[in-house]
Amino acid sequence: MAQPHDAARLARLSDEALMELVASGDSAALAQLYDRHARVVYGLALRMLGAAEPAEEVVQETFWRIWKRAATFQANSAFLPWMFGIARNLCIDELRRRQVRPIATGNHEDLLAALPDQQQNVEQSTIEIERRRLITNALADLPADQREVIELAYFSGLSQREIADHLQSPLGTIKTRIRLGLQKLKQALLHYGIDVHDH
Amino acid sequence: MHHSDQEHEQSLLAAAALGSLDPSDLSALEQLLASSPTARAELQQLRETVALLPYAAPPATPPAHVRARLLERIAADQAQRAPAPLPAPARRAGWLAPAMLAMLAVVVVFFGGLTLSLQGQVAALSETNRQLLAAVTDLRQAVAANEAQQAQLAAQLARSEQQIARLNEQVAHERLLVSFVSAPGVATRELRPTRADLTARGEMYMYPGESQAVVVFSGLPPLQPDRVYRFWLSDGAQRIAAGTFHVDAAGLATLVVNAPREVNAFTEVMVTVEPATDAVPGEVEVILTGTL
Repeated sequence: MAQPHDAARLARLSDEALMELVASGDSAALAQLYDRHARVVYGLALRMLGAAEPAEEVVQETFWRIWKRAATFQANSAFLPWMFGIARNLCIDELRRRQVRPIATGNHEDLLAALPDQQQNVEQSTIEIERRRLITNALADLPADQREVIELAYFSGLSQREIADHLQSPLGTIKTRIRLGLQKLKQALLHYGIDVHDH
Repeated sequence: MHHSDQEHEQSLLAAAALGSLDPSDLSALEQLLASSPTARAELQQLRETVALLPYAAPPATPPAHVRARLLERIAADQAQRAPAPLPAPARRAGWLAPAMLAMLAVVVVFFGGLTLSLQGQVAALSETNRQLLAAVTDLRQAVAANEAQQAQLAAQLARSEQQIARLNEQVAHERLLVSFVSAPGVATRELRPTRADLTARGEMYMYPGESQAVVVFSGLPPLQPDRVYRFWLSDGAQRIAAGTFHVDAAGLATLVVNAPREVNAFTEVMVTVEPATDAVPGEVEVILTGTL
């Protein structure tokens, strides 16, 4: 049984360190992860599903699976790709259940615009704000066609072939755009000096 | 490696990181990852890059109930999977190897958890079984009550049908009497008591040439159950029994006589008191007589 932790101590721990506690059955550590990341998971689900109720379900189910599968999380790997992978897969499952996929119309203002975070806890959200600023800048620096295929792949859950069909472009062209776009994104983020291990 | 091969591999890794790999490329990716540590490292980096994409979506605070329900769910899960108390250390544990102790602990916890889980399931099944048995008992009682009620209603219905049949018979009888005694051309004959202490009498209504007649009696004393009044027709040569009857509490009775031939062919009528059946011994006494 995990020992109780005060919130201040938990707040200083990295995501990966919190996961070790979660794996030992520490629900306070999970609550800390929730408080730290639920807003972004909810934002992702809203972006992918376009409705609040299923997005709420995704948030709850994501953190429930983190709780239940904590023992399978590899201590030397990054938490965020694992967590967002769970959330995104749940969103794609929901989209498949509905058999519809809200595909971006080409207006990326909602994705690129930095909305004011009026409800955020300032202490908790510094990294979140910074990450959001950097990723939106990095996406904005991409050529529009590369940004578009990345969004279709990630937020609409389309495969490369589905993107090619949707855009009526050759599959090879789509693969090239994805490869180049993602490489540039990686370089930009490295240049900005952030990675997913930051907390 | 050719440049194009490198681009192909990069495309596989990029698509895999974004979760947009076509199924037809899956085996190629698996081969690449199996053979190239560099590719595995690159995929890891790309995945970490992709993991920042969710921050591009406008974040929003989920409603408070989402967190509350999650924590409730987790609390319930914790309560359910609470580990069984570990057994007290054995005295000889000191010389057991640590690995054996660890294995033992795992086995104990596993079977403890399994036992708890099974106990929980057995308790739940037992409760369900108890509820089902109670429900079945209730249903049986309800069915039995319904059957009893049904039997009661059936008996009541049979009694009602018998009563209705009797009433119909009585109505038909009354109609016959009324039509008989009030019909034009009917002849009446009087039956008188044979003893001076009797006030009884009879009035016979008959049509000349008809075999049917009606006799109305009054003043006859009610009889014991084993005795009856019998009506007789006589033509001087033989005497014919033409029906039995009882009187009501007021001493009244009506008898419809169906004679073997026209009633006016007989010269005398009488009423006797006799045993109800041949098995019952007793005297035969003439109570009323009349001439036709």
